[in-house]
Amino acid sequence: MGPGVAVAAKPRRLATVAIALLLAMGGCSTDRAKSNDFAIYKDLMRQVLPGGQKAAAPPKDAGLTREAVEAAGTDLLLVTALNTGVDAAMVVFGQNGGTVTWSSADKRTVSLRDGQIVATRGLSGDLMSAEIPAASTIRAGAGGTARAYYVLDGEDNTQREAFACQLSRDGAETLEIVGRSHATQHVKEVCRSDGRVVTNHYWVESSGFIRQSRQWVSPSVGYLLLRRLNQ
Amino acid sequence: MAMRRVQAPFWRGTVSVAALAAGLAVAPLGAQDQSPRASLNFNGVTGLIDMPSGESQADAALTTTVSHFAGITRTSLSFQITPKLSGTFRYASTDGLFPTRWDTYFDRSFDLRYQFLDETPMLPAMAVGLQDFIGTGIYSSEYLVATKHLTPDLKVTGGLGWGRLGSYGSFASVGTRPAIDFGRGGNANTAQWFRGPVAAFGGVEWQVTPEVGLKAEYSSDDYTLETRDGVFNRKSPFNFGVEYTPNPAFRLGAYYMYGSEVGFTAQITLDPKTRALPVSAGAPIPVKPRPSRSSDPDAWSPEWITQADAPDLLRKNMQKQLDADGIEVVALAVTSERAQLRIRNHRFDSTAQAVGRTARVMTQFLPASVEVFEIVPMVNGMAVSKVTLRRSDIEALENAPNGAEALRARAVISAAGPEPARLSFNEELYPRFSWGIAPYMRMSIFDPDAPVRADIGLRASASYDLAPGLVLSGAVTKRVVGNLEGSGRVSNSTLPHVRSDTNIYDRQGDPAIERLQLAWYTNLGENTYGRVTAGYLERMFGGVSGEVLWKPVDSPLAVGAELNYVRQRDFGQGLGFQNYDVLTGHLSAYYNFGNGFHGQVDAGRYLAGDWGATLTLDREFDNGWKVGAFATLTNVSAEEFGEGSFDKGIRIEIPVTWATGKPSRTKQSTVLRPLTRDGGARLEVDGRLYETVRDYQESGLDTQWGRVWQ
Repeated sequence: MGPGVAVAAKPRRLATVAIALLLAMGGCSTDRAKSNDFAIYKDLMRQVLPGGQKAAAPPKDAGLTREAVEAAGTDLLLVTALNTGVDAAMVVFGQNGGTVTWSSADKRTVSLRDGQIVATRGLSGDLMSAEIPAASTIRAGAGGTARAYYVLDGEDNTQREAFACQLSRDGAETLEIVGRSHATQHVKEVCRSDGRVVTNHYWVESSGFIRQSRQWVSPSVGYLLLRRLNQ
Repeated sequence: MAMRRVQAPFWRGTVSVAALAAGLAVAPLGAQDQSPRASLNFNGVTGLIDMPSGESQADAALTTTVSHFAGITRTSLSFQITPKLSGTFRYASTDGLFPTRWDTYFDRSFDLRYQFLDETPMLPAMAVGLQDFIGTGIYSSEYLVATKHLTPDLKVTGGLGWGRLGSYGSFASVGTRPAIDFGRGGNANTAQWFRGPVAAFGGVEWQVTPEVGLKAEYSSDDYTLETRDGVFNRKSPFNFGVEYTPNPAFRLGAYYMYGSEVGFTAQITLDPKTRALPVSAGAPIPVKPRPSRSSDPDAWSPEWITQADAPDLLRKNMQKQLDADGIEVVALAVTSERAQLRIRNHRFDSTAQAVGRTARVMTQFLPASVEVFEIVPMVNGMAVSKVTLRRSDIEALENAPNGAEALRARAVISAAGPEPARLSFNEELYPRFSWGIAPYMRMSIFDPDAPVRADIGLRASASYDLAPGLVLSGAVTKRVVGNLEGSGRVSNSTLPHVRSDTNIYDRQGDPAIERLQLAWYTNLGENTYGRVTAGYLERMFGGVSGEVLWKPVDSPLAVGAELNYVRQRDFGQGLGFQNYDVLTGHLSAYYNFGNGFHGQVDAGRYLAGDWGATLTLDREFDNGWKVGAFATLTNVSAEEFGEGSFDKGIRIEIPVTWATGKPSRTKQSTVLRPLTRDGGARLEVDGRLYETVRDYQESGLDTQWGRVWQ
């Protein structure tokens, strides 16, 4: 992201808030639809007013220690939004066939198939669904793959973006994740669509388990860093 | 008993987890297309400084401009109706024009322009325009104009103008142009179009950097009237300007004009097709797939249906999960293979999203033998459609590539059909009382004494759901601050003052009972809906209103009839009435053209007892935006109607979700009338059937089906 985007984003957001104020005009109500609007209004005000949500930066690694990971007694996925640097710990929310949906406590989810992101929900500009290559190809770390990502445009119509990708090995790497080391092979996947180039990274253990990955999600979400904390 | 009791282990793990906080929710918007768009001129149309150009705005762009020079202020609202056709409404004030009659002269005008040629490597973009073709005519002019890029950053414009744009340096004449008719305005002045002296105009635009542009033009507007009345001294036909575009939505300009004046503009562009923020709601509960029959035959046993309290238990369990999504279960009917869930959607602007979330909750709770899900959206006690989904499809497509489209191909959207037997009703729905207090703002614009007046106050509202479809509701307002009471204009209307005494209602109605009514809604047949509303229906009228609507689920056409007997309310808006009463009503036809355009015709008797018809045409966007225009012609003559000649206006509807990214069913509607008179005025009744029903039917569901899995 160039600095130009950051400059443009701020007045746009303020304009949005101004419009929202005009629209929602606050108020309180026991009516379900109206109280929903009131909640939206409060939420927006919190983001705009000084001393709001921005103040409390979430702790690194979602505040997790190795002891906490062991004590959790459940699989944990640490997700970092690289656009913002925000970390969140996620637990398994649902499983359907080969797809596992992980969720944070505040209802943001990432769905993975073979360690690859096939959907997100609750993020701003979700990946609705995806066509992905077989996990064995990723693990092999060589050859070409094809991907397609489905997102919604401003009118809620589904848009497909197809990518042609090239895999390559980037050598052995030892990762340090929340107080534990993991020996991995680093695999890179460079993907090109008509309009952009994105690069996915996978750190694969000898068993084939993807310990860590950095995957592109959608134009507005950007990249997510995924780290498996146990197993 | 093989019925499986349901658990709710959705948030297992009590790990202290930090939120993916605001940073993720408000991720920076993706790289915007920063290519400079065509700019707008002082009249609010695509152009140079005071002159038009041959280009257009991006399709669907909604732009507003404010420009000022030499005591002339023009405020405009323009809409790129199609990629080629655009319309502009303009409100202009001129200090010192017609000084014997006014200190400041106010004028409203409409433009239409059509770009008939796109720019190619060889040919320029070309447009034809009608300026002020329906107003009083002081801005009236017509033009043909061409614009060509010499380099990506440099473009030249040249054109020919008639009327105002043919008033300086004319070199020829096409017949004679009839004089401006300073009458009431409102009639298309066709006899003037492209008649009279012709003059050439033109200019150059240079985009120096993506943010900064320079402009120079030669104007063919002589400002004859303004010069005559001494508004300003036009010394030169040349204008120069510099414009700054800090972001795609905003542009500012400063200019040196006509050799004597300094001018300014501010331009704002909204793109209805691009959300201010992407939709972001809390993630849905995932689908819970059923175990295979072989691994868990018990789970598939249909015997649970014999358990007497099964429907009640299932309904309550599903309600608990749906609470988080603002979805209310009205009733559940189950057989061992089929379940019909009747729901109310209080939150999602996209009905498909509400349906998708409901379906996923159903997979969590319903026994495995239930294969067919029927989801029936209910609104005001009426069942308005039925979405039938196979559970196996929901399971198979949750994470499939473009699963939304695949699911739509297998879903059936049909009429709700008869109420199924053995419905388990949510007994908490009736009776139910709800209330609210919220600020309100009421505006009066275009009053020549004070172009903008407004009141801000508090509105307390309450509703009491007595039984399915039977609602008692009301609202009371109390002004806190404002100047609407300052309007002392006395209506000169010769018709019954059904709308033109608005300022007296504003002045005397504090506090006011805005509305107090009992409404009853019902399904009259498979595709037919009915409404009866009685009480204080709106600020100015009370009485009885009845409506019938025929709207098949998959039909682009709907037909309705409404009959009202109303009496005019006291100005104080208490419980009293005045002496005027009227029988008013309309036959209405609604048609969804399917290409983003929607038309409506209402023919019948209006509040002043006049007979006629209203034509409304809207451009509708799948995200809920609507931009439209309407006109009403009745048997009231232009003389009787008064200024403006007939009722007309513009309406804009913006969904809260578009601006905030948060799901909400609320929309902000604005109706802009250049003048409010008594002819062609319709009763305002809350909850007319067409808009109530339509969102939940096939067209409404399909437009936002992409969100079914969101």
